[in-house]
Amino acid sequence: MNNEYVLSERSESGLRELKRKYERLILMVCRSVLKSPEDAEECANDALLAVWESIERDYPENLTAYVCKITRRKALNRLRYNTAPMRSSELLTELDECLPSTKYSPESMFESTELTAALNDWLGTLSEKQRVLFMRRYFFSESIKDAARECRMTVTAATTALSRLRGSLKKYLSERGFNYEN
Amino acid sequence: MKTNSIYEALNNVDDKFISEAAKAHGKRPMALMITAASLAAALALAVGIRNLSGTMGNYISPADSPVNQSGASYVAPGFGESKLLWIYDSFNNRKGEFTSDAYEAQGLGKSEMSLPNDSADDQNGEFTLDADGNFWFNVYPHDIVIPDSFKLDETGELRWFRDLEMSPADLFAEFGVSPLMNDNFTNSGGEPSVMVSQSTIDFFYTLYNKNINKNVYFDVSYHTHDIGGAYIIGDNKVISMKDGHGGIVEQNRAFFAYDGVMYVVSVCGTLGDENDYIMDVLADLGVL
Repeated sequence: MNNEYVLSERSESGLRELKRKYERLILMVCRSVLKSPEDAEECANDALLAVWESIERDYPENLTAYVCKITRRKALNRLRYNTAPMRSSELLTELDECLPSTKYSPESMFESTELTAALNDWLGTLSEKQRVLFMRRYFFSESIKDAARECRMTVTAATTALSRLRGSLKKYLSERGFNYEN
Repeated sequence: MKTNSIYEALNNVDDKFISEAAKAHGKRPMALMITAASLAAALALAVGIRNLSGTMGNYISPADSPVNQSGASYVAPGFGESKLLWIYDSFNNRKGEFTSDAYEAQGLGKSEMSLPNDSADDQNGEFTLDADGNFWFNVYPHDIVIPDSFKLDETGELRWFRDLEMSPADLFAEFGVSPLMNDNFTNSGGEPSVMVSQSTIDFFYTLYNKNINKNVYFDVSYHTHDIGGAYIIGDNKVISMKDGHGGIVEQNRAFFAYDGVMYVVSVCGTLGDENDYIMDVLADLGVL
């Protein structure tokens, strides 16, 4: 069964197929963000359901990316709920050096078109290896160790590469008017 | 001034970037999948290759290699009557990892390869053959970060302070190896740039315990800033001294001569796998 089937078949079999195809990926994202296995599992179920409920409305072209985005958002929301003060986790702190935000409101969270465009442009300047490493770490929230393994790098090399990538992103964003706000 | 959550913005990046990264999930280190068959093909290739006059610029491109991406091979400069075969993981076609050009080819850009206080040119290296036919890989000197396990003693000698409290010279002596230092290769303080990592030590001991008495050349680099010297067991030449960063990172490699062919096995894998793999290759070739 293909994605077309998943998207078109609003039945139990469509949901089953969605689960079969994406459960592993969804769980990976949830487990990477949330340290608690129970939280991750619960979040994965929520994410799967959210995908299923919104799929008909959005009818995404790229189902994998769509699933990833929804899952990541669910997981990050759960992480923020679990951790106080907000963004206290190591993962959410790393990218602060690129563009720390002092505002967290629903508006700021969703009014990020320009920043997203800049991010897309910047990602487009990277090699595939760099891009995958960055995304594995900061989109999929994998540990450096796991991201390094995915990219077939040592942890040391991945750490160095990520540091350089953050520096590159910071410079890129700064040049385009994204900057610190004190 | 614009402020937004980069974390949220990331969630909206182009789908293709997300898919690309998602697809990477589950890939395993291909370097560890080099098979005896691919190795044999690579060795056969090496025999027919001409001496390349000690330059590193004419190796066979990955596309022409009989070995696929899981273990592309290159024929590197001739070494006397031997040939040098460079088998490596081919990750991102790292054929020219010793040069800054290779970094550019990888899309890293020269600036990316430089650590603070290093200029890109510092990172360039080259293979040369000296008047005695010794094979060298020269990296122009720059500062060396000394791992915690190494310290300079009161005489200024670099010593190993973890499991083996011996200087590199003592270490080599124990193995019957007489290292020749490359004058070009000292750190900014002028100290000899010989450092060995734990993995190097382990590697040495493993081979030593197997009573290897062939011309086996090792050039093992494990951590980014470790310096893996190249040594010959059973002989008294050093073929290579090299830098541990700026291109020769995250790789372990073994140089060895066997049946008139000099080989380099260079492996980039997950931590802890490299030595095992090299040992397997050596075993496959009958060196062990």
